[in-house]
Amino acid sequence: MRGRSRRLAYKALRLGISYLVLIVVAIWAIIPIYYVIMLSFSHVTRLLAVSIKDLVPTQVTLQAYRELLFGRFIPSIKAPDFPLWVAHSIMLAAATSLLSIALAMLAGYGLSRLDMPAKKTLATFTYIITFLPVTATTVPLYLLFAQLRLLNYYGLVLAYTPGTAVFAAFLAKLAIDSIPPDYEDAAMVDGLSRFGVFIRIVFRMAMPIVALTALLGFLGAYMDYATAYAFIGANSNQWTAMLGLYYLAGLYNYASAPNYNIFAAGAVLMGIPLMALFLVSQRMMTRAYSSLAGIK
Amino acid sequence: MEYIKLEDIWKTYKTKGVTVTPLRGLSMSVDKGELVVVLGPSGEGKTTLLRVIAGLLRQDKGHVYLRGELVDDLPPRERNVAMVFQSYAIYPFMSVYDNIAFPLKLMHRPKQEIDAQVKKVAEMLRIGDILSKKPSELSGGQRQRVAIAKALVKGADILLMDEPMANLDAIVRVYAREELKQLHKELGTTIVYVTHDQVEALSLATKLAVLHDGVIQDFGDPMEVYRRPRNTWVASFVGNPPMNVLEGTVREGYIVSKKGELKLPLPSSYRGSVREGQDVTFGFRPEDAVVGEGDLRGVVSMIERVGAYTVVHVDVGDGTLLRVLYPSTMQVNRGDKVSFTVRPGSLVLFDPATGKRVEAA
Repeated sequence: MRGRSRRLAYKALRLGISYLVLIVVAIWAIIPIYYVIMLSFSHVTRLLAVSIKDLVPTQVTLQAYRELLFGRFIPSIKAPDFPLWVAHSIMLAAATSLLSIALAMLAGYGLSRLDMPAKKTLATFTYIITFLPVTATTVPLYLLFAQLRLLNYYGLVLAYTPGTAVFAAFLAKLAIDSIPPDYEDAAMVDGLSRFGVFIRIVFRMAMPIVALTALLGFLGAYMDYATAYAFIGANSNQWTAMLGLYYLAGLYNYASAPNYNIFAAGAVLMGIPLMALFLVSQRMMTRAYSSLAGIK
Repeated sequence: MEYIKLEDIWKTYKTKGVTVTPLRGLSMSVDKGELVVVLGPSGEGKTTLLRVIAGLLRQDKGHVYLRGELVDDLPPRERNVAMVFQSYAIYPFMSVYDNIAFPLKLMHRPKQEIDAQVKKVAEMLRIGDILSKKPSELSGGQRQRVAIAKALVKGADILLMDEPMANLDAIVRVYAREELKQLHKELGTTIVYVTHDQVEALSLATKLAVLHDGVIQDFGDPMEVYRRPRNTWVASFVGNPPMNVLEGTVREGYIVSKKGELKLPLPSSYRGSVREGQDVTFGFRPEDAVVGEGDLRGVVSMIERVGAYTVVHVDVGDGTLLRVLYPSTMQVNRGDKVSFTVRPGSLVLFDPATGKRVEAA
């Protein structure tokens, strides 16, 4: 009797400790986000003026958002800046996303189905290349694209895409390897051309990888600062949201930068499309996995 | 009319660094409405053959004719053939209805026509009540019927089947076979059916083709191939249990086996085709040995009780083993001495050098 209650006590203790650790880590992860959200709704104007007591807001105001959405930070531009910046970001990220999917799926299909010499070496090489840190490529890319006279959006998309596509091609190869070729044969007899089979059958069955590539491509382009600054930093009317946010945080010129709470508001707004994308792709991936899981 | 014709087909390919040539000058001709079963050991080119007919593989040499026309350069979708795969290949992300309708949708047929066709084929295969289900919810037998429905819905008059019953339970297989035979009779489709299962081959086929060494070894009525195989390889492959094949010499109206002490009377039909002293390979089926009487002697060495009958391996001297069939009710033990005779009309003679059957004069 005593032994059993002691065992139960241990179990409760272990459970309690695990929960405690999880809660602490969760709080630790959420606090920065919470902080920024609170700042965006407050009156704080300078980064130096931020203190712990701002964690619990006394006043909630939408002033930062109003200034952000309707303000004009760059004198030369007629329209409100921030919406423009976000539009640019989304455009670039979407283009990168789509191009990455196309390249990754095509390459993955080839790596998986076609019989090439040195195929395994190529695949392994592809995989290893992705270990390089992206920032190391900023300067070489700038020099290269300057020579090609592509220091604009087209160049930027071309520079972003390989970063995602190469890794995603490897994943796509693995995914397509696991699809039995019988489906493609059946589809060809049913009446599809080889390309039709690729689009209608292989894409559908490799949907988790397509979703992942879309997500990675979008994320890579959306969150990039270094390469965007190198390519289009000079043209403030082409800025993406990341470039704009760095400006708002006072990192270009401390004196001319606007209030810090405006930066916080910008960060929050930028996060919303990302959150939506994560949710959608997560749902797509789980649904795709569950529908394929039932095959014997 | 020669509906499907294969002329001198060669196909070589490399897998994992090894080069294989499964098809070596294969020729075959199928008439309209036949159910041709291509029987052969596993891994010897049966699937390759089917894929060459369908157009999924391009042969290295030789020609494929469908309905009298050369189709070498046509991709699968233009050959108007239908195919059922061993794994069924039913798209898991579509319902059964959509799967069956898929070929018609690709042909851009009007929706009512598609609906009518799908329902008709589903009725024929008795799957009308599972049209809304997803493939993952179906049993093996149901999936097989969906695969067949999908193949039939196009109305193509050539159907290619790659061991479609291999993944079914033995009992389900018997029913599936009967249903296929019925379907064939009703629709008159020309079917090329590939398998390594003897029983399936003999019971389904209207014509049997035996594939080995890259060519068709024998082709014809199933029972003809069974009783009078064209060469010794076919003799020892077709049928379960296989034919007894032995070496012998013609002496004074008898065939005397080289090993063991077998002496069988030479059938009169062969008297004109073989000479005295000629070496000859001969064969007879286990069920054609009549046990209990006769001049041939042997000792029982091994017994296989199959259920409906018993296969008894008899040692006739020099370690030569023959298989004979006993009714399952008859008692037999190892070491028993048996006497038997062989029904004269069942003997088949082959040329020992080429393995080919010797024709009766």
